[in-house]
Amino acid sequence: MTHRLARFLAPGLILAALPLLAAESPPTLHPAVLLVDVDGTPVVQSGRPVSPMHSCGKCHDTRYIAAHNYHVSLGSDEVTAVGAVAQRRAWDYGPGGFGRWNPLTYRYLTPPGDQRLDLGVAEWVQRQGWRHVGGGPAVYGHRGREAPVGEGSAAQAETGVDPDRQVLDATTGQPRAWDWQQSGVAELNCFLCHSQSPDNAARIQALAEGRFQWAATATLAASGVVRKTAAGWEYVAEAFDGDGNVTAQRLGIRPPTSQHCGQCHGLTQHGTEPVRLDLTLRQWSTATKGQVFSGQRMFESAVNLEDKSHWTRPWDVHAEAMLECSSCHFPLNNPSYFESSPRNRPAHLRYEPRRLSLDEYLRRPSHQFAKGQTAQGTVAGHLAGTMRRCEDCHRVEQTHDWLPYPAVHLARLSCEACHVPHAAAPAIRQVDWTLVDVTGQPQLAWRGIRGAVSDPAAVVTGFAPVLLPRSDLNGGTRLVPHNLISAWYWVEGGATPRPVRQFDLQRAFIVDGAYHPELVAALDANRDGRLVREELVLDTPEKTRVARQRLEAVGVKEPRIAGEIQPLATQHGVGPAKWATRDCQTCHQADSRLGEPLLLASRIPGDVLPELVGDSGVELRGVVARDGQTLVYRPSTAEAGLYVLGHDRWAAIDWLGSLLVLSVVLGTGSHAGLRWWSYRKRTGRSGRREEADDA
Amino acid sequence: MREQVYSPYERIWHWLQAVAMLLLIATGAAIHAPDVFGVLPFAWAVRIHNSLGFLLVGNAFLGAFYYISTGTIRQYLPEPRDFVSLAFRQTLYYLSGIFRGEPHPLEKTAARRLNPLQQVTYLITLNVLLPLQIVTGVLMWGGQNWPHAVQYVGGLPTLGLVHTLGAWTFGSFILMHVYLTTTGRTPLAHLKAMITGYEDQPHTAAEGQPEPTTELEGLRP
Repeated sequence: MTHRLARFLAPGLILAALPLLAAESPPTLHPAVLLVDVDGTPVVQSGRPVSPMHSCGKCHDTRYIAAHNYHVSLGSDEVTAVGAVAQRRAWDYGPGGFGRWNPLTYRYLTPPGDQRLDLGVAEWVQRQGWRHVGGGPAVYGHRGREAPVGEGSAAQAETGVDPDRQVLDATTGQPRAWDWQQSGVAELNCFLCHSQSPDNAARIQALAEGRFQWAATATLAASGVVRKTAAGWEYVAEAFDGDGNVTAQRLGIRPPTSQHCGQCHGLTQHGTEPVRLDLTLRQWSTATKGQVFSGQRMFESAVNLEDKSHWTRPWDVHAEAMLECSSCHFPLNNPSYFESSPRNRPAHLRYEPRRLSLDEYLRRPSHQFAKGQTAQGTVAGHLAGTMRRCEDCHRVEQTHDWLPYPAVHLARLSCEACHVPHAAAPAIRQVDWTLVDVTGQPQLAWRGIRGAVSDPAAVVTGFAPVLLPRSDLNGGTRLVPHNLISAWYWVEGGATPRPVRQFDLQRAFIVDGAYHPELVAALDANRDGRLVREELVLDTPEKTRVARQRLEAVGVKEPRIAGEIQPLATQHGVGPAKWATRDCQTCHQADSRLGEPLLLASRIPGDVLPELVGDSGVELRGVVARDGQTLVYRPSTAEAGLYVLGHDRWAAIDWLGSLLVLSVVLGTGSHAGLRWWSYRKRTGRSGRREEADDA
Repeated sequence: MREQVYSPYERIWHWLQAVAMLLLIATGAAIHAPDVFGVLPFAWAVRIHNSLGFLLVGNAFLGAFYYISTGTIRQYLPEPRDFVSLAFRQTLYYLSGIFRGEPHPLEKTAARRLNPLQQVTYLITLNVLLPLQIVTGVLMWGGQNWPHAVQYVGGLPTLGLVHTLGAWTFGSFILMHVYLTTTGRTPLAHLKAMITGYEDQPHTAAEGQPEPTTELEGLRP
């Protein structure tokens, strides 16, 4: 009996265990990999850093991959002259992370030709390389693909300012030569996305320590191929065969999952470990948009959600459905996903059968991933709209048969407008660099959380993203949910403005780890001799003047406060259908979600009204207005060219109509009253009819 | 003497239009300002409004067919002859004569139910205001299904503006219309006529009966 039971249960148990086995054992179709250094010598022999370009390049065309990869270039292949694009900031010279300044990361990557160094390429890799897969500018700097940034004599950097070869000395504020020979360059790191368990922390540490060439090797730390020693990294000989190969199973080579993307893009999580929020820029999309890509039910997470038992939905329904980021953001020449664009397909063809064979694809897989069109994703603009959109997978007409007038709703609203009505995680609301703290960091304010982000007891409420009209590639304009991040910062110079260097901010405001006495005198409202968070705001002309004088005292020319609003589209964190907005009056009423004000800032540094970042592709069709001490954005559907029944009214018409009706009521009322009065006057008190009846 | 001034069809047509217009205004208000007039769920208000709109359009076309085919439409057309003087007399009556108990300058008969002022009002209402409401209403409805099509006429913002203004005007017209029904021989005479079809006509002196008295005849103060 027991034996029969075991035979009966065994297949089930094996099937049940398969997912676990799959998690432990990555696909093994991939052959063993000969890990070599930049000279092609097996690393187990040379002891030098692994070169992914050479190791993976034996089978895959890594030069092609690096060249067709906006995750590598980060816009470095699209740079322009500084300030050449009118829609961008006056100091921007590119659309991506390399050339486009971001107030969240603040440090300005100094372009060649500038005579005041802020962030050199090496320091850029150190500080911002954690969001870069390597290669591209981490190898070539500003040189394009002419020559690796490390080539040439370090002595060249001793004259003038050269952001490719110098970094800012944190002590003196002067340029200091960077030894590229010692640091090496951060090659395109294939292992970051293609190994089962990349050690991202080790990679980031290697980058931060300036050991760029070891970053890819450090990524393999969890595979048992390499281990860290006091002297650096040491290969584990047992992991290699006699020729220096390592099995693909040990390396865990596999297609990227959402977890891999999440290393740079934000919180993505599969598995049963409760979702935890970090609330730092390390969870980028979470911190900037309140998005979490996880199939876990929200109430099962470790997040201190308000009314937690209510949140029975998953953080993202697509993650719950086991979709990966690559399901929508696929490599553009992947034959499984490839779909020719109507723009370049012959008009008579509905389907393009010609595509790469699998071996051609594996040899040269484009790493230009299909991308959407967002307010913040300005890099590789020519690829905008290549992504599979909601309507490319979902049969909208079948699932929206309940929706009155689907044509107009779908023409005016993005899917996310109703399906992402709530960003479940907190997101940054305001960044204030006009007064840094004693560690040189800005003051951040968040939305969607009650309490300090550092307080574990803070209650996460999430927030309703504001709906902004955005023109899409088809020429239509639809409302898309966004978070708005307002930033205030000092700008130096007149003709060639630049953000004031963080170094100068600290030098101007901080002395020996404390605020400068002049600043304390101006800002210390309660006169306790120290500045607390509430006091750290330039909310009067006098305080602003003192701060400006401090900056001028350390050599900053013509400092002025600037403000900007960066819209960030919230397109993940999609809930199940029943959590979508279905109530008509959510939009169709006077106080509708469409006109709901969004708090931009709880204080307005320098009394400067921020302006929308110009290259976001969206417009603030509404009013940015002061509301007491705060700043709010009040969207206006009318200004967006929309007329939403129940929400939009022509006030003048209603006034005119009301006057018309009132006039009629008054006119007829008066007329009736006069008739009554005259009748009584003519007929006497009792009335003539009664007299007649009496008669 | 009682005389039939409205045929059964005319009365059914009138009341159907009246009910449709009142409900259109009510549901229109619920759509226009659901936070103020939202006694119905918004989606229901829209559905009812649209259905009533098409009902009104259908009834309007049937009415037009009836009035044209029976020739009754002539009643709505002001006659150039004496129009100005008759309109002036009617205006004078509303401004002063009515308060002195004077008889209507033009007695209502089956052959001439409308005075010149009514003719002009109905001419504008039925030929300008009603078509305007129908066209803008149909375009707004169509714009929900074919959003790009209505862009040629200014889109929903323009259509909404005109339709709303028309609705206010219609509301004012109905108020005025209802009030003027009280200016018959008795305050309810016109209303009764539109219900029963018949209206008492004044007795002539030749029949030895008293002349018309006042429009408030029958009211007990």
